Amino acid sequence: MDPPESAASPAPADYLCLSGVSKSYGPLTVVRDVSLAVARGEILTILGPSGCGKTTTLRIIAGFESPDGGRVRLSGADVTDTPAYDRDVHTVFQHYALFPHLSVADNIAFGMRMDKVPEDEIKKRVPEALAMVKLSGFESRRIQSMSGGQMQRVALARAIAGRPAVLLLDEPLGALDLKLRKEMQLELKGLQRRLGIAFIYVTHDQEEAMTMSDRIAVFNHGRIEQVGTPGEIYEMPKTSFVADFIGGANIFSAKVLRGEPGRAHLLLEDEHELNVPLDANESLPGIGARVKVAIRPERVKVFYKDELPFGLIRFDAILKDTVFLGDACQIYLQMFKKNPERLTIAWAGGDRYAVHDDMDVPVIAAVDPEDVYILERDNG
Amino acid sequence: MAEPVSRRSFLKAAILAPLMPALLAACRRADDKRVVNFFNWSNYIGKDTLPEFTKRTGVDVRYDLFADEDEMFTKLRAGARGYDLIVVGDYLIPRFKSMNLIEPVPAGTLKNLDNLGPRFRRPVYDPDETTVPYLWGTTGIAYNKKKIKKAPTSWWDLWDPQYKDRVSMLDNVRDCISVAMQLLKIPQTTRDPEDFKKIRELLVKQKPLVKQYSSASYLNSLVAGEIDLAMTWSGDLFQTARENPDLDYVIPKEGTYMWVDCLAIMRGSRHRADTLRLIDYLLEPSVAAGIANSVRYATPNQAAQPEVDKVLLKDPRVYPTPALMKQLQLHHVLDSEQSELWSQTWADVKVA
Amino acid sequence: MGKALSWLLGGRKPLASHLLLAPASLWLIFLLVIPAGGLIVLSFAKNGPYGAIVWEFGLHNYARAFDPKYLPVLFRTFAFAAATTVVCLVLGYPLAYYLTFRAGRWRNALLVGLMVPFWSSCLVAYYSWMIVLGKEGLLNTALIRFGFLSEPIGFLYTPFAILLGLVYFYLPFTVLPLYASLDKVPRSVIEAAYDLGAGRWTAFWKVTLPLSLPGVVAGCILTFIPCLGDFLTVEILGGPRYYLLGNLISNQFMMAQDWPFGSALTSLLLAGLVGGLWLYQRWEKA
Repeated sequence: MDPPESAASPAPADYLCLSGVSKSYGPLTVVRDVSLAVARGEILTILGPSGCGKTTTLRIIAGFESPDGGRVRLSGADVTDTPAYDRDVHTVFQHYALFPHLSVADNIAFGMRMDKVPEDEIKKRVPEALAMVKLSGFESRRIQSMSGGQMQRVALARAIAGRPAVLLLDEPLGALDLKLRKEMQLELKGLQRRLGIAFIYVTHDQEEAMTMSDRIAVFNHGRIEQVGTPGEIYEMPKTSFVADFIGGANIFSAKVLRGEPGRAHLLLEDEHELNVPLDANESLPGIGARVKVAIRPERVKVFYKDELPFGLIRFDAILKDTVFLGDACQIYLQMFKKNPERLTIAWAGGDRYAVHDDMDVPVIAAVDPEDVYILERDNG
Repeated sequence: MAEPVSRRSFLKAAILAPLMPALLAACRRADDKRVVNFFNWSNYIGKDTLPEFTKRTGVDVRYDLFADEDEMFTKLRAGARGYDLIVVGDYLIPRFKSMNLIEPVPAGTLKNLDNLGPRFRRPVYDPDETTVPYLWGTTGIAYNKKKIKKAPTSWWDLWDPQYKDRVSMLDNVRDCISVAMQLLKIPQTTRDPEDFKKIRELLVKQKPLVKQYSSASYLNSLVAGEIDLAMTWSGDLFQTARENPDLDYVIPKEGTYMWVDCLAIMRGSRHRADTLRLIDYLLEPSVAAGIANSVRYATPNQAAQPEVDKVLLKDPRVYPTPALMKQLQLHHVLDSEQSELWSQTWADVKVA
Repeated sequence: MGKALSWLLGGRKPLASHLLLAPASLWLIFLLVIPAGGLIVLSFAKNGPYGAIVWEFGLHNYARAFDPKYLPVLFRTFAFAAATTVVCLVLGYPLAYYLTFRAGRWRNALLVGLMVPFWSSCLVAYYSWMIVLGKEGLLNTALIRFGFLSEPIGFLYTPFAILLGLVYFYLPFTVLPLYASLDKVPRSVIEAAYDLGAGRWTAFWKVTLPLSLPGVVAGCILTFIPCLGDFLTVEILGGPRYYLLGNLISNQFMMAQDWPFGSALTSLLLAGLVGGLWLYQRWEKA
């Protein structure tokens, strides 16, 4: 298992750099030794479940919290001890945090006025910012009269109007409905491309992360489990947590029988023998060790007749349940006699495989050995 | 769960139930007990006077205090019941009578009534002897000998700007208006609104000099040094002088009034017999003398003279000389119209 | 029977809710509505000999109330109430700010501490102030001991003592609405101000303070209006040189024995208080 990607020494292209940042509240350690590098102009998403430390990390970058250990560097300069109001970092808050006593224009102008930008310049930039978020003409509107989506855009305009170096977004779309959220995701991405500002985006929605990000940092219990592009994270998860969090996976337990260069022989769930290829930089724990193994549901193919293509691993299974989701089907299979409760999930497209209504139908499940990922040691 | 609770509450009820009639009976018994409810000025009776009475007669005396005559009148007028015996200033007696707050002492019931000096029998403020004189005194000026080099001689000294913020006046309409009238040489019988306007202006002119208007707490201020010159009642000053011998009393040269505080029975008293017994007791020579010696006011009780403290008897400030006595006047008995003029003027002075 | 009662009491609600309200309603009716009503009726009566009440009705008491000789009292009352409000605001705002943003664990304890003078008898409190402020009192003794004074100053019976007593009593009236208003300011909005480059003071001045203005107004009104009717403070700590409207009224009852006139003054004061509060409510809704 590889250690998570770290950036202990900032590379020249790095714009924002966290090294070894940790933060505790009393006995509770919220952020553990987090090291992260964000390049100029990229969208990096911090992804993780509630309570994993992502918001705290964001607040440390913004300057609202002081880390107990580690440094924060912006464009080479150490800003760890600089207060929030002196950092060239702006935040879009989860619940917008607009100034209720100011008009839209004054909200947007606030940051610029703090920076002592001349008034005629401000007069130009406010409508520009509004146009960028598609709210032209809203200058004199009052905050109370706006919808959630509109307020979100004002919050965005306010944060980018001052042309900060880095923009932090703390689950900004969480309060919007699904349709609006999907629209905003694309808009945000487009906006970022136009502005060229580095976005650090925090979310717990893995679909959102996959849609928007150049890179994703997956957080769990205050630690970074993996950093990579969406493709890397999805195709080559390093831990069972990442595998399960992104895209969902079937996680099995397996014992290492023997190893050869480039291949591993495993006993899956004490029942099935598998021979799977290893990745270039993957190393196998010793003989007899137990490991966690992941297989993506959409890589499990279900056949009703014994007509398997060549090269796939074959499992005899019983169809236990199917769930129709409109654009896909979720199929629940029982593959292991020794552990009948351990169901495997398979995905199927709408019409590719005929779905039987009968339960307990014997079927054949097949998996390409390439699609079996060996994760970390199974200590459980 | 219900069982133990109900058992406990049953036990509680069983224990309390027989106690209830006993408690009620105790309350009733408290009422039937022989008692007199006595409402009086503070510092206006001897230490042992009432305990001696209780020891002798078995009648308990519940003693309640007031420090402000007007407050006392308002309280009683508003309907405070439960008092049997009260002490009323002479000028208030017509008011009490007209509002039907007091009952006359039935003629012939008091055996010690004749102990009073003839000057105090059938006085002009109470010709039908509804009330019984208790103590009398004068109103004068108290001053701190150490702080005031030149002893005051006139009421005008209380208007002297050099004593700014060191003066106190009694919080009493009768005394203050009387002084103003004396200084302006206005007779007490006047009904003229112009006169009262002058009186008000004179008293308002004095206001910036006055630190306090008070009838009792000014004595503490005298002792503490907050004020050095005060309008005072004779006996109060002598009582305080025991604590601070630097204090002295002066009757101004313009003269002053004497006033008499009287005992009166409240209408609706439920302990009339015992109240009369108490009044009779207070009229006894030795009792009257004991009170007078203790509070340092003058007793109207002639029969008590032999037992009055010789030092006090010789002190002309407490027992004025016969020559001075001739000069001392009682306040004119005001009718309701005059009374209202006096009260309104005083109220206006206080808020000016 | 239950139905009839229900209809009498307003119809649509069930009887049970009326019964729940009954103790409070009875309390209000017997101890507030009826006495206040009696007072208003009395204000039209005439004052008879020795203060007896003559039940002949007219507006003479109200006419008297507007006599210019009472103007100094009115001015003095307004001046003291205004001064109290200002001092309470100056002292109270930092206190409320501290309670909201800095107090942390101690917040509840401090709030209780603020309310304690309110619960204890104010008479006791004022008499203790006399002990502190007197010429031989704690304050003078301390000042002389530390060499600030050579002779004691008469603190009592001065406007200073009155203001002290009034502020002491009315401070909670100011602090609590301020605290409530400051507490409602979302922390994220203040953080947004920092985020956009506002320093601590700028963030306070441009964001926190404007958002707490409703609380400031509420605090001022809730202090000013009851303060207009205060009489106890002056009675004990001030002396008759500074008698206020409240003292004027209490004198009518206790001294001048003119209850009808006192009732008229009270009714006017009540009208002023209720009017002021009503205006405030209208403004708040807007």
